[in-house]
Amino acid sequence: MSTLNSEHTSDKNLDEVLLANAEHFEWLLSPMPRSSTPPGHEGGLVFHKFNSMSQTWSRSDA
Amino acid sequence: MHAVSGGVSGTALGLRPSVLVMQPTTLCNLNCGYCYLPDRGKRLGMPAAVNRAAAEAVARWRDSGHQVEVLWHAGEPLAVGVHKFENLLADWPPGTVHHIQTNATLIDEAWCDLFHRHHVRVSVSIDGPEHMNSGRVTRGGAPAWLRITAGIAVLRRQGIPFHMLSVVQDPAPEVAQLVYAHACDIGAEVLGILPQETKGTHGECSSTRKSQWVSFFAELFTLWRAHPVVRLRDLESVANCYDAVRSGITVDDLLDIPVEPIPTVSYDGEVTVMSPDLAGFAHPQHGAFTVGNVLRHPLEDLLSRAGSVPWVREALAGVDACRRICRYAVGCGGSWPANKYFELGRLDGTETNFCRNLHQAKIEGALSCQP
Ligand code: SF4
Repeated sequence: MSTLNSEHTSDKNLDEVLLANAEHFEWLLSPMPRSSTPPGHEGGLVFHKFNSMSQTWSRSDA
Repeated sequence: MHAVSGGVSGTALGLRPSVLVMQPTTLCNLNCGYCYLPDRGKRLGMPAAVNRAAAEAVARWRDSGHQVEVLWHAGEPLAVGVHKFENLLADWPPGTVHHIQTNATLIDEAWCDLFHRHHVRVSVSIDGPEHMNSGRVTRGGAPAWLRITAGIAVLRRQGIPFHMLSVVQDPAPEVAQLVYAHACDIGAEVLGILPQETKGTHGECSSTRKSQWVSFFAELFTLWRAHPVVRLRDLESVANCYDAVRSGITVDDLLDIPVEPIPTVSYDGEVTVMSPDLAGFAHPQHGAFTVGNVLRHPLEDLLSRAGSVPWVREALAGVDACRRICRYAVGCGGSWPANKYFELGRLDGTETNFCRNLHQAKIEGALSCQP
């Protein structure tokens, strides 16, 4: 499995690592319910804003 | 096309927030060992005019089709008292989604009634089982544990769902087990983890510590995978990133994504952007971390000018640097100016212990979970 464990030295970006581990993520995330909301711009990417619990994410189906 | 402010550095501040943070009082009735909030011992309350100015901005955004949620935070919001809080809420447009972050010690039936009527979404700060809360004490130094659990018991009796925010000091896998079990026991809906922040320590390299956090998150996520009862905020954020990448987002797209402004309105009307944790602090050269006051200018105007305020420009340069050089940026976004400032002494820095221990570690933890 590819990992990112050598800080800032690997030649792989996170997006590539995530895609290379798609099977693993599908297994890990499978209990998370999906909603049918399509992702908006930025492919639905919403960064963690700050440390409050007002922010949660639900998985979209698109 | 996004509406943005500033952009000298390339990365710009968004103009339409998704969340607005309100500080109804500086006061907190507890005196937790790890708390860094300035003025938490003083009762400085928010005048009605400040509340109204913020509410009117949210109403204007709503009239233009943009919804803004409100988070009452920074100090203990319940310390203002239930009647005063009811009056504050009365000024907001109907249908506004209100969130509250509370230490739970003041929750009683009257508060629950208010939460019900205004559909307030509640999050309680509780670190785990009793021994993990030993640093959480009253102003007189007595343990706050019984008062925290009494407040949570009222929430449960009244059928009010709540989230749990846990500040973790010791990232051992056994601690992950304790925290997750506790979240299940108390009936939390969502659990979020906050590594204890070491503000002002100028970030010594902590690769060992990061590996401990990776193991912590791997254990937490593995527990959840086997027993998915309490939602995990931190795994949901990794899932969001994974889904976005699968839908085609790459690191090259990051620089175009505006920085969430997160306007924070302090009790006196001063507005901080990008991080509520900067509110009430001052930079040695730039002065107070404010972009102006809602009593003097509409919030929308303050945000549209914020990108040219020197300290904000410097913080945006830090986001830009993160997004250009850090391989975790697609999962993190790079906009954590308070941690950069308190750890590195500068807003335009990049990596901190905090980001290694949370943003980087949760992604690596997710990668190293085992069936
Ligand atoms: S993980 Fe740290 S260095 Fe990387 S983008 Fe986030 S804040 Fe910047």
